[in-house]
Amino acid sequence: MDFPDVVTLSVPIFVTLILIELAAWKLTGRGRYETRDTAASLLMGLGSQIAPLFGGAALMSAIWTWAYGFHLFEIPNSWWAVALCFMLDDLRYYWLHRISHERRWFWASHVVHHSSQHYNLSTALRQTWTGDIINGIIFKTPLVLLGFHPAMLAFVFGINLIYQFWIHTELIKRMGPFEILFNTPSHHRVHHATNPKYLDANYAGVFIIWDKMFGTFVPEDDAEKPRYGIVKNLGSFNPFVIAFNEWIGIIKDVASARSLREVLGYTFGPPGWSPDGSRMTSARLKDRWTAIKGGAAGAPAE
Amino acid sequence: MTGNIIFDLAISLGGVAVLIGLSWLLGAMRSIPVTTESAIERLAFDEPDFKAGEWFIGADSKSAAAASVAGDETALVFAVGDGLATRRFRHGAVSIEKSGSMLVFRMGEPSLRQLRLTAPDEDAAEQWVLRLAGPRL
Repeated sequence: MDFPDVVTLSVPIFVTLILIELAAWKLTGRGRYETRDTAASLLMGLGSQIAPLFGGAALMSAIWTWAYGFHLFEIPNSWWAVALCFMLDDLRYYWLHRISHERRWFWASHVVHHSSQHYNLSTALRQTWTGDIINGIIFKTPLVLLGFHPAMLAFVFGINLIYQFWIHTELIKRMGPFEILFNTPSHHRVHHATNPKYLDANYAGVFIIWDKMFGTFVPEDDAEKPRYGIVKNLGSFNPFVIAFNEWIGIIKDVASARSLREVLGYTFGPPGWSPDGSRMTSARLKDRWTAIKGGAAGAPAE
Repeated sequence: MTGNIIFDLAISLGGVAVLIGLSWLLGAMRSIPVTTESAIERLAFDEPDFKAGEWFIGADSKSAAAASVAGDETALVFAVGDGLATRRFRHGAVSIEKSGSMLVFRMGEPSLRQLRLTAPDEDAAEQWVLRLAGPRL
């Protein structure tokens, strides 16, 4: 079974859909675009395709090929294997995505994707330059060791990536019963929102069931319009600043650390962790919101 | 894609340039003015427990500042394209200087090395520096 490069094949579709969304924004006023923000997102996307060419992609390929030599099960290249691989890879994505929000080391890469105050199809392309290789090695190698061929893994990850493109839009409101099983624009708007009620929710890639299973699902509330970005929004559209801002923050904090505990806290603690509690983690933001407004911030849905 | 990296990169860059150009042509290059209302609204969202006293809106409507009622903290609101962003810090944590009729906050962040706030005149700038810098500077 040959596996096509579905992401490359989809690029014309990505461009077409962005053009359609731009036109819809202009004609109907729905959604929101800003040129410098769009430029930053597109350049981040382009950079994310270039960055692995500096040896990372070759390294990841070499490690997967090596790991496949030790695979536990003989899994054939059949349709059921692809379906199983897709499902397991989506579960893998859920946990990588969740840890990318809960631990600063991973957040330093993933924050790039959340750094826009807009939520449109160009935001989907605002991708990290620094995280894909290490994360790919750590989180995908177990699937190779299970027996899924690296080419199959690359294929299903491509499908997952394509699926996640179209959900970055404000044009589609709700999708009825489809939302029970699948991640949708509504679910993912919640994920990109900085409203305390919505923080740390909806990590799903394709199947929203993971969030429902692991208690991180929060539905979009029509009374609480999502406000996108990060809790301390950047003051720049410079792609290099966007790519490395959080890494520089980690380096500065570690340089000022007074103990190993502080080094570890600044590096692997929750984003916003500080030894004296003077900064705000998402848990503290939710607590503050609850204390001021009442009600439970980000309480999982019944 | 052709398999020639340089050629593929050139095509991709061209595509990006076209999309950016189109968004500009469609009028998406926008900046939001910072007004008292927008600054209060944004700060209430980002820092709901910040009790702002008097607001100082920059003469160029690009940024605003407020000292807390307790007089120990400063909040900044500034425009980033068509969005607003905020910063909050205790007095003394950020260096504030007067440059003519302008206040310059040395933020020291990669995405915000400094923030300039334009006062109507030098006297107003001096007064606001004293108010926002706090007793420690």
